[in-house]
Amino acid sequence: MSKKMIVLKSSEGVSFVVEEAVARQSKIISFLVEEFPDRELPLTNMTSEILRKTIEYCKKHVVEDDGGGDSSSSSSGDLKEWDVKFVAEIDQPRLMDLLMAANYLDIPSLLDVTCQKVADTIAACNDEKEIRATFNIENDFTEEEVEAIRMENQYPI
Amino acid sequence: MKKQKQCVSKEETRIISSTTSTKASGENSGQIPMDIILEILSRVPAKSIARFRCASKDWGVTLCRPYFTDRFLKMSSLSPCLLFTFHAEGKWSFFSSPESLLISDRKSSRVAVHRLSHIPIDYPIRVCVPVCGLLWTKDEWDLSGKKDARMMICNPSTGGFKLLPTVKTKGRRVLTYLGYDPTEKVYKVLCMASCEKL
Repeated sequence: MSKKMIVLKSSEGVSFVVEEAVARQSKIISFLVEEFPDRELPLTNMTSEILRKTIEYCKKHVVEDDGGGDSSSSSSGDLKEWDVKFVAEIDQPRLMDLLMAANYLDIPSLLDVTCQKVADTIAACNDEKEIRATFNIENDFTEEEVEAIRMENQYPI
Repeated sequence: MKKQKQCVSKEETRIISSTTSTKASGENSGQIPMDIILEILSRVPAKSIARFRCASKDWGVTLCRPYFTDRFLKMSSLSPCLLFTFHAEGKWSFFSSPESLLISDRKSSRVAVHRLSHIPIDYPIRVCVPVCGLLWTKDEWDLSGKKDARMMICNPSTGGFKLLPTVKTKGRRVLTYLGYDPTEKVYKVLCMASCEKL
């Protein structure tokens, strides 16, 4: 029996043909597939590059349900390793885009790995200037206020 | 028929747009929504959170709210860690190691530990089991006779600590307990003086 395919369209208008089971890891797509079967789904705010990456992740994580039961549990360690490698190869701006895509498409496991990777990166940042740059936030503190917060959090290390 | 299909496509687009929380992905667009930022920040080590409070006023306020603390604790409880602590060379030191690492690698007798913090303390102490992330020293009896010795509560994740006030009592022994009240979300210290020797 051939597998059911669906078509996802990126912001540049590039179509991606994906197995339904793969795409259904996104709760949003899963909902849309049921509501609008046999329709092309336009993902107007996702670039082809990010959509390709998202599909690559979903393909790896798809649980084969051939009636055989739990075939996926045995390789959960390998899958974790694969996840770590997957996010390690992506640069910071693209990682943020992928994180937003995971949030937008509602793919909890992808959101988890991307958030963890960003968290690890910012935890290694030495001062708050880097944090502000990463998240595009404006510093509305005066020097004295920053100093006051620092004093509050002074640890004897 | 074709017309109907177009209508549906518009409907799909509408649904997809309405599910976007704020800014879309693509060119690493502008501001990142606060719920995503909190999702990320609930995964960084506790020590970093204090530093991030300096990023902006908005962050400063948000990271002190009980909502964030709850979220942070929930997140860290998903990856439990073992805490190692010992007193040596005038320091009370803390190390941790993810529990998953120990379980997956049982054959190895070596354990990779992550250094958390240390507190300078020049007298030996006994420590009680952690209460909701905090540790406290065990028994004032142990400290009696030691100059400047005080009971202490500390946060091993940050290295922050507080000395408890000295208890004036005719009792021969002072017992201190630390507890956490999840309803009011406060830590409480119970102190009991006892006449019994040991």
